[in-house]
Amino acid sequence: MARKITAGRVGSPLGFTAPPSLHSVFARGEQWVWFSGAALAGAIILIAGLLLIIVANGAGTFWPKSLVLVERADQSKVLGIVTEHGVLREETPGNHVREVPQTQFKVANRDLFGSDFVWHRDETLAQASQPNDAIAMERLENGDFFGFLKSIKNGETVVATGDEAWRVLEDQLPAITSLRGQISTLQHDDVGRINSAIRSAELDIKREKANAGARSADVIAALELQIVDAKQRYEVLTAQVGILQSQANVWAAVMETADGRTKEIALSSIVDVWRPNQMGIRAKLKHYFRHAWSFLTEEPRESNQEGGIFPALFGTVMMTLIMTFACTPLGVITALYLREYAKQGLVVRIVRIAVNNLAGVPSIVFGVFGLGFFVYFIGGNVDRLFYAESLPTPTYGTGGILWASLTLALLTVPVVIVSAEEAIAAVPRGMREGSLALGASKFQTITRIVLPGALPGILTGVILAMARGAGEVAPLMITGVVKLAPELPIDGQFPFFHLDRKFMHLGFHIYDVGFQSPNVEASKPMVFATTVLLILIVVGLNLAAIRLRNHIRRKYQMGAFN
Amino acid sequence: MSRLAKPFHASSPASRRLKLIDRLADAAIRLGGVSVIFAIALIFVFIVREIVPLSAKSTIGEGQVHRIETDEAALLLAGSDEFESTEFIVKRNGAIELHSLANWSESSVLRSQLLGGRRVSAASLASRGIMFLGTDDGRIAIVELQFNATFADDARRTITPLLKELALVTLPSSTGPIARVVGRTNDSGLAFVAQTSDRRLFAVNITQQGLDLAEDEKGQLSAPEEDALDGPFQVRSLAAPSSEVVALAIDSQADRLFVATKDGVLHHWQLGDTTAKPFAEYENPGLLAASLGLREPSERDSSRQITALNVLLGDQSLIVGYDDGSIEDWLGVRQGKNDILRRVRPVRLFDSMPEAVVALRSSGRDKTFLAAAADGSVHLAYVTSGKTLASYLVAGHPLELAYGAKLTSAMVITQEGNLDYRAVSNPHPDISMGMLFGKVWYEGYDQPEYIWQSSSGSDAFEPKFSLVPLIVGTLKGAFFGLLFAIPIALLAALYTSQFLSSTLRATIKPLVEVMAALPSVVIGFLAGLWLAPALDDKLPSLLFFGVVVPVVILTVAGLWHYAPRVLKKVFPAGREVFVLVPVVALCGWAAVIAGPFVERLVFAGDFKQWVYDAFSVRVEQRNSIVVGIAMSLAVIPMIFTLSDDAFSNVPKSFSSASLALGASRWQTAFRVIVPTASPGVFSAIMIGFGRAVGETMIVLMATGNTPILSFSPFNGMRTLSANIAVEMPEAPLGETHYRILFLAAFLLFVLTFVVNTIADVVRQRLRSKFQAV
Repeated sequence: MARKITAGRVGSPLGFTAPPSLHSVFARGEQWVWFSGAALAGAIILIAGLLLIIVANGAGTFWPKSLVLVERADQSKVLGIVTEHGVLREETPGNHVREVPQTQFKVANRDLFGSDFVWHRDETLAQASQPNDAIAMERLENGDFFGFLKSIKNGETVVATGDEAWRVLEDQLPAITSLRGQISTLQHDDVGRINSAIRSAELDIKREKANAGARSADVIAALELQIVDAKQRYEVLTAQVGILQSQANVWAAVMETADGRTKEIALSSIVDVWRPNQMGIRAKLKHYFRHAWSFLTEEPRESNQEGGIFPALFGTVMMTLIMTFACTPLGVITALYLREYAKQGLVVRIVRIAVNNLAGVPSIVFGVFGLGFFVYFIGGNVDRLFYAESLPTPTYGTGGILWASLTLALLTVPVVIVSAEEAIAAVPRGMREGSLALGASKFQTITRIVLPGALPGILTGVILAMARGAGEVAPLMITGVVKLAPELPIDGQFPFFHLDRKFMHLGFHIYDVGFQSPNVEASKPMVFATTVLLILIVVGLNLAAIRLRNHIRRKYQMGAFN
Repeated sequence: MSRLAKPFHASSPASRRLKLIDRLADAAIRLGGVSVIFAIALIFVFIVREIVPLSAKSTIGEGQVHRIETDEAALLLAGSDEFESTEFIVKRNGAIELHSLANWSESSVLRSQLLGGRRVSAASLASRGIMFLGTDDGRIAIVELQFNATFADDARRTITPLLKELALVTLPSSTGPIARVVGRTNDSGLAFVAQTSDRRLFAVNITQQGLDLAEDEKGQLSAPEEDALDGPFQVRSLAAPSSEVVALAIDSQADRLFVATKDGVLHHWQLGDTTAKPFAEYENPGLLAASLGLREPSERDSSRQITALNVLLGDQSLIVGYDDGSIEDWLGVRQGKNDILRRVRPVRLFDSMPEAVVALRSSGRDKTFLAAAADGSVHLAYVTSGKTLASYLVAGHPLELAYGAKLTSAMVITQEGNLDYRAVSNPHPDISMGMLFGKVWYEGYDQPEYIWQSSSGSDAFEPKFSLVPLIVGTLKGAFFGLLFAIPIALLAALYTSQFLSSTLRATIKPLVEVMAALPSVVIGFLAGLWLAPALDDKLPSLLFFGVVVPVVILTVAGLWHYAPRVLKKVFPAGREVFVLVPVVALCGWAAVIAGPFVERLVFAGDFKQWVYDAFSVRVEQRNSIVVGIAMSLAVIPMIFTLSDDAFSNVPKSFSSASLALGASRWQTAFRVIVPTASPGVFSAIMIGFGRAVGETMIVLMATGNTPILSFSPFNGMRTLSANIAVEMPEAPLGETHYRILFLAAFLLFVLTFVVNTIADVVRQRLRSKFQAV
């Protein structure tokens, strides 16, 4: 050490002497400073790279990309979007490895080509163009369609061809889309209502039979009549739906693919259609936002790989809210107890350390506890006491949004406790004593002085807890999240809140679509978009918490009692 | 304070109300606070409550001894229906006597018409209640005892026994009594092996078609004199064993037959192959265990005689009982790599019984079996663990054993004509410390191994619950995560706290903090779907990057000395990072470009092949390196923030003093700040470790999730947490698998809790130390 210090003296930091020699730079350990700086640079690159990759992939999902028509050397044609460039390693005779550049196209038309994506070697691609009349189409089934519009048919008659066809298509599509909306309302809401009426009537019958009261025969007969009536209504509805469907199915577009195959596509199965090569920047922006909006507000299709993510977004928000309602009061009361009521001593210190460390216990452990305790123990008993008539089908004895939320509440309650405690402790002693000196009771002091003062700090904790809860997936996987929930936890049917239902979640959606879906490559853009959304939610909540915290700091720095 | 307030307001009603509210609130908050703390403690208690039953001992109830009314003492067979409510006994006179277990006197007798008054000399019970009854005059009657359960409106069960006659088989030119018979129902129909008293062995197969034929002939099936090797009714006479047969056992497919003879040879027949000779013969089987090192050799070994044989459910284990009471488990083991059929050899010993083993009966649902010895002692043992779970003693000399279909009852019939019935409680036979943490020799393996393989559709599956691969996987994941995270996070924190200009610090620190909240599912998704394929062919680039970065940084640090003054003014000390971000990024880019060249120069053009040749491990796409990088993304922000706190909390006077004494900024940082803050750094690393150990989604998505014990960085892993997430939804409530997953959660809980507590205590101490300065 002594030697080094001597060296340090030579290159005095004040710089009075001549600039230090290169030798002394290393002797002073400057290179290590640079190394540590490089570590920070590395960390920044890692983090920025992560965000960049996600945003770059996710934000571009809805942008209408140009369709390229490529003529290959063998005269065959490919119409698609260029998605990736790569290198193919090929063994040539003589054990040499040749690297062949290749390009991946998204050619869509899964129903005709078998796969959405295709790789072509660059050497086989001759000529590329962007034809103006190339059409991209989002369909209800089988993914996108890329091709050219030949004609529009109404029934068996050809109504329009060429440019005229495009106009007709644009004219007809909105009407047919709204028809489809009507159909889905009928199928979803009305049929759903009838089904639930039948189900509840059947359960009532079961209960009556078990009770075997004096008037149960009459009641059962009445209920059975209700069921018959509901079934009749169901028939009527189905007929109605049939009529609407046949109306919608009359129109069809005759499409031609790049390789000359024709395909008739019913207009009722088209979600959206656009000509990317003709769109100006404004049209593209409009398209972008329209598709982003429908991504947020629509139901998923094609086993979650297409369509929207509304149920997952809804499930995430609702679960986070229930969790917050559960963990906030618990956390604040515990913090108040620990800070204001409990005798400060060894026990409270141990409790504090335990609570603090609970935040570091893996979330999956909470999930296991939630499954064993909430789902099987409490849920099982609730079922036996209140839902005995529908057993052995469990109501609360299986995973659901309530149990998942409570599990996460337990997971996040330490976050709230810790920050609420800090916030309560930060309320200046003088304010407290002033209040007590003026004759206020302890509880009055707490509700009027301590809590208002600590509120921003508590809110920070709550927001941080929400952010943690919203991004947590592992415990949900065993307490009630599903890949596809047929019904939302809130709907128009009594009792409106169905806390026993399973739900969808953005995080689990990412895992499921990205790793469990049959066509990972085709669903990647959707997963990236979902990821961007989840990050926006979590990071947004965190930034809110940080701003709130800075705000408080400033407030207390200016406070009169400090 | 309140004492002062009292005199003024004591009497006013408002004040009384106020005091009441105050007291109520006081009670409510206390109650609330205590109950939340209690609820948190409950997590621990509840998880333990789910694990404790794993250690529950198997218990056997008090014996109920029933006297069987019979003119002759010998009883042949006992069993019970699938609800374990009715028991049946086969007597020598051919009567099948049924008793209700709830009320013994409620009984009935069924008689097979096929027997037609013949006396039964041997009997065997196969699945579905099918019985093979060997007669005095060399015939085998096959009957099916059915228990038809009907449920009344009030859910009360009535069981009606019914005897279905299937066939009466006449063996070729045989009039002597059948000495032994073992039968099975296999995929093609029925099969049995019978041994006549004149020491001849017959293997018989009857297909469904054969049974239909028998039905037309009023059940009569006569074997031709010559062997019939195909057709609906196959009879094959096996080469007569070298001496008197003492035990017979056959597997469930009636494919492998084991015959023990008095001259001390165990014959192993593969009935599927029709050669005239046994597939293998094991001379002196009693010696083998000692020669394989399973037990101390003793003089008794050579005189040890096999007295009972039984093939366990799953057809892999052969239980061998000897006349000195020892019991061995024999498994099929491949000798050479290319062996298709496995020869059997002893792999495990069970607790010895006091006298000769007379009967062995395996369970129809798991890997437990019952053994009875001549002195009346009965053992219940679990094969995989080799443990005797429970034992008891019955009065008399046991003859046959029966194990209830639900595994909740055991019956012993004795030569004296008694039936000893006991309730068995055996909730978790398949678990012991050795099974969880030790190497176990499983069926189908050639040596003991650590294996996690929890479930399969069939009862015959041997559950493999070794936590070792999962624990190793967990530590491996955490290790690689920390390998990347620790250097980056600590150095970056040191730079941020000591060298970085304070304005930059104010923006960079919160940025990194926000990253700590990034959902791990996002990181895992990116690692699995983007990083793993991207890194797949760029491992040489990564290696190159690791080598080249230090060199480049060193060069830049040296060159900076000669940098023009303008440049130094734009990026003064504390802003070097601006220079470094593009430098590091450029290094990365250069590494990607240079990767293929490095691969060609150093790794002969193919890195994966090179690794395989050098270490004989395959490079998987989702490997530990990918997990390590992804995990480090989750851990870096955490370690960074905590160690930055530790560094910057070192009192200013320390560094001022050091600098004043002429130390350079690095010397101050490294020799003064780092040692002082080292407990804080330690606690930061501990907390990072805790996070890495419990991380679930990243591991789930970025690895192949194969629970294989491997230390290679080029393989994936399965961690405790990912294992819980994957298997918990399928684990049935209350069963061993479910409880073991709770045990895994408990391990994680304890590990992280302890690690975090240590970290917390260290940090608290450090803080108070600094406060004192």
